[in-house]
Amino acid sequence: MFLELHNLAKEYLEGGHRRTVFSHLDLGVTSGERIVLLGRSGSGKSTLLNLISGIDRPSAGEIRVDEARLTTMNESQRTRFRRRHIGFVYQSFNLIPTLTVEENVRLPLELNGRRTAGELKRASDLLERVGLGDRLDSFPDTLSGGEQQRVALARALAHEPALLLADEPTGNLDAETGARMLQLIDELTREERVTLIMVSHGTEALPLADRVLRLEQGRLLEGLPETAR
Amino acid sequence: MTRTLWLSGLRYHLRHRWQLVLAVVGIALGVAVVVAVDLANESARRAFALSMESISGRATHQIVGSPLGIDEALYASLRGEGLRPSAPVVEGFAESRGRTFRLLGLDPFSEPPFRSHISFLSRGEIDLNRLLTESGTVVISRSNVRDLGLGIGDPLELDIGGRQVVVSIAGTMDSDDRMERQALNGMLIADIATAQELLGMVGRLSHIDLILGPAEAETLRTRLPSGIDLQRSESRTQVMEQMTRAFSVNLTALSLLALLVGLFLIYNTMTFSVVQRRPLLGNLRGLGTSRREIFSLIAGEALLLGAVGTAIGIGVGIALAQGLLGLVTRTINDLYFVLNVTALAITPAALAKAVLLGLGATLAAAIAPALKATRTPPRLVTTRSREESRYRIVAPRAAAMGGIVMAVGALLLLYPSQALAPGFIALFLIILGFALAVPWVTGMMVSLLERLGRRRFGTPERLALRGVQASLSRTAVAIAALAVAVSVSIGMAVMVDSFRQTVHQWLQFTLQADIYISPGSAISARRSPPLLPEVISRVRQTSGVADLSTYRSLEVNSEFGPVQLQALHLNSQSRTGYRFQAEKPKRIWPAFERGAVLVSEPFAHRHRVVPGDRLNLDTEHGARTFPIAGIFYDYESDRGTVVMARAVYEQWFADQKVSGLGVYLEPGADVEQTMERLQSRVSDLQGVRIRSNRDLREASLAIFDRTFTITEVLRLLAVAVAFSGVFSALMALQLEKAREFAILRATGMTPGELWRLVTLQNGVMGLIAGLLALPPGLLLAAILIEVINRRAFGWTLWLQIPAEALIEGVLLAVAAALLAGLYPAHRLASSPPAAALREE
Ligand SMILES: Nc1ncnc2c1ncn2[C@@H]1O[C@H](COP(=O)(O)OP(=O)(O)OP(=O)(O)O)[C@@H](O)[C@H]1O
Ligand SMILES: [Mg+2]
Repeated sequence: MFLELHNLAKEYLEGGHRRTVFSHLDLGVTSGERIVLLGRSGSGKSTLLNLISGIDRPSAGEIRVDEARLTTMNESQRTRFRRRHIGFVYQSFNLIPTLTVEENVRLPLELNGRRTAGELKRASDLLERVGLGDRLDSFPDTLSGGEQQRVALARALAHEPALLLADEPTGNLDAETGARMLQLIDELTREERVTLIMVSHGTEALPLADRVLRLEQGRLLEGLPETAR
Repeated sequence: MTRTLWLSGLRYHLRHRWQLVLAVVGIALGVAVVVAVDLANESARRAFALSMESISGRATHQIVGSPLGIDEALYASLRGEGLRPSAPVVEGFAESRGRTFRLLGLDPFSEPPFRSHISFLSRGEIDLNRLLTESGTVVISRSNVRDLGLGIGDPLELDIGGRQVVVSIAGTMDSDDRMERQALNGMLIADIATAQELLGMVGRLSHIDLILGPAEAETLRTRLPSGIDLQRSESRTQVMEQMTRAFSVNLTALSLLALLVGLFLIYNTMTFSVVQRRPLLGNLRGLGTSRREIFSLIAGEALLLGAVGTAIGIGVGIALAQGLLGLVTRTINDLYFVLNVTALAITPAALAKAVLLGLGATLAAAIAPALKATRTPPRLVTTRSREESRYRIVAPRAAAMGGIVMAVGALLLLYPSQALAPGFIALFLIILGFALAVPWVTGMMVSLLERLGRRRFGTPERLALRGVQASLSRTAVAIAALAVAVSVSIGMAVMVDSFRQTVHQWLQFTLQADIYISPGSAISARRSPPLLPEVISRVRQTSGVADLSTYRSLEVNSEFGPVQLQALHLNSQSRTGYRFQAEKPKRIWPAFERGAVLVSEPFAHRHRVVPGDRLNLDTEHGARTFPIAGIFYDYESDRGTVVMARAVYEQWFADQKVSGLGVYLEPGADVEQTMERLQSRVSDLQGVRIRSNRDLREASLAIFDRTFTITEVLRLLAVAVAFSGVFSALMALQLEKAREFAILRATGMTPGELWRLVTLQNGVMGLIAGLLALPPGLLLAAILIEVINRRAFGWTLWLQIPAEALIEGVLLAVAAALLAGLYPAHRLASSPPAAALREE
């Protein structure tokens, strides 16, 4: 198994009382597998991706990526693991406003110590691929939502991660732009054999999935809901 | 203005509690410093006026004589001619248990028309019979008596110019009025005969108090014998106020500097608080909030912040003033005259000024950003980057303008003037111009650093520099505020150090004798009683003593009012202790022996005299003019001193007394041993203080340091204001970046790397500010020395650049900046980034 979740639980403390998002989650994902994760708003999809990427800590349970146990690592080790192996496209872009488009994409490369001109060229190549070759020196806040999302995708793939987590990458886009985005994700992950977990509301992303999962009332279920079949 | 709009502002501040608290602290500290200096100054001034009033009472005029007083026969004859109301006064100082008392000898029967509130005939518990008939009895204030643990009838030991005497307490006096009670404190009242005896003025009076109309005064003036003059009462008070004028000007200058720092910090705080909220404001505009509403939201907030900060600042200021008051009083006592201040006079004027300052500065600082905020375009996505790039275009222009403003300031400095105001304005312009140039210079410096470190720096380092550059509109304001604050601190430190070094060098050459002898435990050199002739002849005959120089120091009336006169017998070595401004000593000394006088630099400055002018002094033989032969450097007194040859003095003042001796030893004589010998030879005659050259030098420097304690305290306050302000500015800056940092963490930056980034970023900003603060700091010191000190005091100081003060300034800036990064860095590094990513 490339990715294993075991007995995973997450609860938030809000004021005095605690709110359980999910508990006892189990999952196995093989290398190169492409998964689409469905679920109602608020069901905990983003939370789950956060846990897998290590930017948040579970309340209980275990996460293994490629035999590495994320849950026993400290903050620093988890960060190093993340920057080597995981790419993340966030629901709300999360580009760094003080860096240009190209610098945003170079960032993961540089953090991995890849700083020669040849290695950094990958950033502009990727941006070329997502159709932003002419916006390298723009700042993110001058870009449209769809453009920003494409920069975010290039950034997530820059350091050739083994696992790509995409949180509703088409959520903020119109149907046509969204379709173009999905196509990009499809092409790029296939070329580089990246394991993909993508959160989605609708059905547009289903064609690209090897497997479909649903997060419902704190449980992880296989396949499409009855109603959709 | 809707409730919800207010709520959005309120919640914003509650969420950014740190920034809120720091902003209030910044305003409060700025206000506190100004209030404290104001109140302390004002209290001292009032206490002084009141004590003058309680001494002069209702007298309109005074008959004054030579320094040695008036023959009391004059009083008898004037009174015989029907001159009343009139009251004789004998005045002097006495010490007891470390306190200085003003000893006032009065005639109870002539008193009633004059000093009603010390009217010990009517109030208090006084055994009048004893006071009048028994010699050596005094009346003292009730609170003094309580503090000393004494009661009526108890003996009180006094030290009057080295002589130990014991008096008996015949009664106490008190008042219901707080200020009046303070004036009574530190006063000893005795019958005139007792005071004459105690002060060694038998048969003489200090002055005669009168109540006269203008016409009466004129006729009386013509009837007075030569050497005796009629003076208006206020002129005495005015002269004393004049004395401390330079001192209070200096204090005011320092408080203005503190205010300047406070203003910059308040401005920084307000700008930041608005600029930071632009997305929120844009959002509100998008929802249909009008410009006007946004403006009132921000102005209202500023008023509220300003009000809270001002209220706290006034409270803290009053507490600080209590502390400062002690320092102010001590300095006045060291340098000018005996003054007893315990009560703080909290005047409505001072409070009004504080309110105006706190609210005004906060509002003024908020207006520009508030106006800017109303121009925030109504859209949800802000274009920070566009704003920043516009800022980078404006920065060089602002710098050019800053250059012009500084040049205007410099021109103003070059303009020859004796007035202080242009000096202050120039100082302000230079600092303002400097602040305008900061953004551009900062940008340049960071670019330089970026270029230098292209190869060597890791990602966090490069991102740190980039962060400073990319949000220049915010970082530069913080850096400017920090630099201004640090430069003020450097300027003050360099000024004090230069002053100290100058005094040090001056003492080095001015003190030529090996040993100095003065009457014991003198309250101050200026009020010292004479040495007994017997003491002088014994000193002369002591083995090891080669030569003596003598000085006599006393106050004399002149065309400029009372001035300090020193009559000196100088030998050839002690002459080398005098350095002159321009003239050749070869020409000066012969003229001096022939009857010319020398004046000190502050004297020449204060009274606008130059060598060749003539000085009018009231001598025992009436008014005389003396040519001024030269101007010498002197830092002992800012009032200035007139020096006269001993022989000339004796001729005109019929006074044989000596206030102190300089002893020159035979070659090879041991200083310590000779001092012991001298002590044992004269101690049975008079309490004297025998100090070696080094002792005296150290004691003088100690006094100097004491008088500069207040400057040092103010500097520390300015530093504290600066520190907290910068701390808050930089901390706010980093907290604002919480989300950006969270993205960095999510993208793979480790907590350690983030620490490096924040620390480096703040360190660089602190360093830039520290380095930028050096030139204006030195300039400020030069202005304080060259303009303020010279114009206010007339002192020539040699600018010294102490490396420690500069290093300390830079370190201060860096330390404040680094400390400010600790909390934000810790908060971001210790928690998983998911939470911060959620925050908007
Ligand atoms: N920091 C937090 N504190 C309290 N509750 C939280 C926090 N973060 C998330 N939650 C709650 O956890 C639940 C899951 O949130 P999550 O963001 O994972 O939902 P989601 O499935 O991604 O929804 P959407 O499709 O709308 O993005 C929600 O009910 C949310 O309110
Ligand atoms: Mg989500």
